Amino acid sequence: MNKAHLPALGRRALLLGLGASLALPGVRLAFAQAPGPARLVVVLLRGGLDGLYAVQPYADPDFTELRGPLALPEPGREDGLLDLGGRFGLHPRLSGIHAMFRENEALILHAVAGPWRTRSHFDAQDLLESGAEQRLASGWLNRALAALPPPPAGRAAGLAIGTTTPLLLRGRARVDNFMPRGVAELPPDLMARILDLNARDRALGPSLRDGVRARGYVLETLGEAARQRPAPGGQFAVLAKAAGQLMAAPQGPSVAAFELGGWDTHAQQAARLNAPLAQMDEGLVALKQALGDVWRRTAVLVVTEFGRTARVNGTLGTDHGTGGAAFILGGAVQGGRMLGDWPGLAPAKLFQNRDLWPTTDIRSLAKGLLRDHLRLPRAAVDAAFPNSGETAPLGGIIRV
Amino acid sequence: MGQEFMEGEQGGLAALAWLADQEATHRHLARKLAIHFVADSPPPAAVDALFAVLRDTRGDLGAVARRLVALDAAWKPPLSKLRAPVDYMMAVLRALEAPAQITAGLINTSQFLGQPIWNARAPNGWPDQMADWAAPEAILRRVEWAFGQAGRGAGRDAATLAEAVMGPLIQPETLRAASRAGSAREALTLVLTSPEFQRR
Repeated sequence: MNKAHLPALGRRALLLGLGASLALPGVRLAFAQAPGPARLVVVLLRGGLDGLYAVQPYADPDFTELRGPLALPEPGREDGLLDLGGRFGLHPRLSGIHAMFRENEALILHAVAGPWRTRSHFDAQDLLESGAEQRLASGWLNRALAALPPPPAGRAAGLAIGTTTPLLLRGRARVDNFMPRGVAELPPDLMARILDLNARDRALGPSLRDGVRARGYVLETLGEAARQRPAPGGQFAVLAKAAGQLMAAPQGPSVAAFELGGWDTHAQQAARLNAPLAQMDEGLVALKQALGDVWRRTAVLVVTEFGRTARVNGTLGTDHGTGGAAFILGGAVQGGRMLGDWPGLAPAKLFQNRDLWPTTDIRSLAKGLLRDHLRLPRAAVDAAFPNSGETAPLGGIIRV
Repeated sequence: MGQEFMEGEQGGLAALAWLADQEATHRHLARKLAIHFVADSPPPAAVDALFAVLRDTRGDLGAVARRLVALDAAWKPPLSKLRAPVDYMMAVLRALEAPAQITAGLINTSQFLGQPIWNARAPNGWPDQMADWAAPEAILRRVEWAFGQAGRGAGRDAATLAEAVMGPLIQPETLRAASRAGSAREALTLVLTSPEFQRR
């Protein structure tokens, strides 16, 4: 794997949003030493979130031409982006994250990618969770757990929210698994694909269509008007709330992970991303609310396996790419800032002439959180991310 | 029908034996077997073949079962019988090699999917036509349940699993959809909810 284009990471982590640099971390200083152990939540966005769509570099001179129909109106205009300090803007469905940003609780990173250069979801997700350049039998978050103080007898230090334990949390350390009842709703995009696959079937095709209509799945790509979802945020908000409640308990797990799909938008991206973005936003707000005071000692890392192509494809979507966006949220986070080394969008600046050039290794974010938030010793951080010596932990994520 | 039987149990048994030996019974049974194992509207030739065995053996169920297995029409793709909920549940769990402990929750699952085990409607029993099982809510529940189960199968390769459980029946559209899915779990869900997986 070629990673020669990756600069020494961490060293060049620049402030991107000048306006946002006015954030006053001192205001939060009183909370920095919030009593109690730190909590770390990792949210996996499976399918490849288009970072250039969720976090739009609207001031980049090449942006509008490159993105065409996927470039949203600038901040301040109708249905416009939510400003992140003068150069970047959040998708309007991410208003909850924007509120956290304004309260200095959200750090947004751009041009982030793992060290892998595969365009396969399955491989990239395995590597993202392994925390290495090859697939390992355990996940980096599980290996990090091994270095934490042992949890009270009968308790697990880690918690996987969902029907399964993701590779991220598999390994030697004991991890509990929890699935809230009544969570069965599929990601709308997957439901759309299942409908497509069954469309040719004379019985199943019509039945599924009717069932989906009756349930009010948001399937705007089918030409149906968006409907009010039964529960705001859908199942992801239920998962997030459950994670928050369990972690807020005095002897709750230090670490939890859960996931959200629906990001693989090869077609009709603008319509297809509305629902997942809203779910993600409402879920993260629900997580914050459920954590209550514990939010002050929490950091939430939101990552995806890769970004998407910089140019819009022939079906108004984007294909598997490289550099993308990541989010670090929480009361423990020194937020209100855009971080990353912006590579630009000029044709010559694109990775393989098609993707946002990755300038920050995703492992540096995670290593920074393990070192500064969970306060793991260096050996433990290295064990979580083997052979990552060239990728220094990103400093300054956590309030000091 | 011009028959008289004694009162009491002996008479009842004699009546049943007589009924079981009637050509009309053989034809009715042949048709029910063909509907269940071949198609909702089975080809007349298949019904005739089963009927002939029942007539010639005077109702030997073992013999008719062997003839059924040997029927080309029972195997010829595309398979047309929609799996009833319990069949579907079993097929998914077997495909995912679910652990034995999972059986504890299956009574509830069978109810959720619309075919509660041991609670068939009297006196007719479970219906046997696609339209009876393909109601929108019922199919949607299968899809949602399959998505939940696919979470357990994470790490499995969907194409390999599809090949193992469906072999030549798998449709290229399904493999293509699975290969383009956003995650291993979504790929498995697509295989498990494909039209051909829902058939038998």
